[in-house]
Amino acid sequence: MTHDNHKFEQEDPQVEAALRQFRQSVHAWSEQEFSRPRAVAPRPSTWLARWHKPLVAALGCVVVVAGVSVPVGVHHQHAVAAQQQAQILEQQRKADEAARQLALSKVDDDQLLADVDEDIAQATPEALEPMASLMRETKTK
Amino acid sequence: MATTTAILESMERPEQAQAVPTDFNQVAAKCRPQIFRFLLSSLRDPDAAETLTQDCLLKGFRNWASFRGDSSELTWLLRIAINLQRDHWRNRRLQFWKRTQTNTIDSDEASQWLPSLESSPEQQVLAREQVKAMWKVVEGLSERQRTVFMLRHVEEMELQEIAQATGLSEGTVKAHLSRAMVRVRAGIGSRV
Repeated sequence: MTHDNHKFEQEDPQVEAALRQFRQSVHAWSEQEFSRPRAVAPRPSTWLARWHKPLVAALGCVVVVAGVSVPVGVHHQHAVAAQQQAQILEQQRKADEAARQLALSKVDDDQLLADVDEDIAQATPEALEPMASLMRETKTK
Repeated sequence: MATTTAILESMERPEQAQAVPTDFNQVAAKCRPQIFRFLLSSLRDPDAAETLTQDCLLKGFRNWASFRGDSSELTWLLRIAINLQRDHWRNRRLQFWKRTQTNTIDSDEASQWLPSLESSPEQQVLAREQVKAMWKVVEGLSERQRTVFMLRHVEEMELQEIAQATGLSEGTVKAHLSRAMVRVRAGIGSRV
């Protein structure tokens, strides 16, 4: 220690003694630890060491395959579902069309019958012709 | 404990080991106990201290060509050790959520080592109490204060050397040391 440093750090004897004890203690501890033989860290088991890389590779493959196949499968499922939906819609459309045709045909029949009735109604016997003409006149009025 | 030669032998490139100037081996052999002691007192973990000592010497070996001789070899190596120690603490803080296994020794255990066995039992008890109190104080110091304190009072380095090793100015070293000593006086004074 230089003279300047001594001036900077003038300690009372108690603190000096404590510092000295501390220094000697650390030195003793360090010497003991320094000369102590160290145990080598245990290596991983041979089974694990042997299979570590293949396991990692296999896991990697599984992850890659899953990463590819899962989206493909999901896409396929979506396509099948869309196809089924389209079929259902087509069937429904056909059923609607058939119902509409049926309704149209029913309307035509009714119209035809009404027309026939009207024609029949207009074909009055000669004896009732004056009454029929009177009825036509009142209708027109 | 592995020797410096063992470190050099364990290098990845053996041709580099052959190119090592022989004086680095001498420097490493000479400085190793002191570097280990500084790291042990700073970390209180013998295994971590040993590992960081190896790392320090390895780093020193790799950068030996850049050593210009501005400071002593020990100061230069201690600077590397201080940086490694700082990184070690930082990693420990970052990995607080991990179950890191450490062999950190508490102040009670650290105060068990006393050199002079020929003194009386009363003196030994007193000395042990003083050392324990000192460890308690050291525990409460900031990282930088602790480093400066250890270099000054355990390694008995000059202020200028401490400044070189820590990369601080001499005035800053004095300030850190002064603050550390205030705590030491308070800690020791309350027990003596």
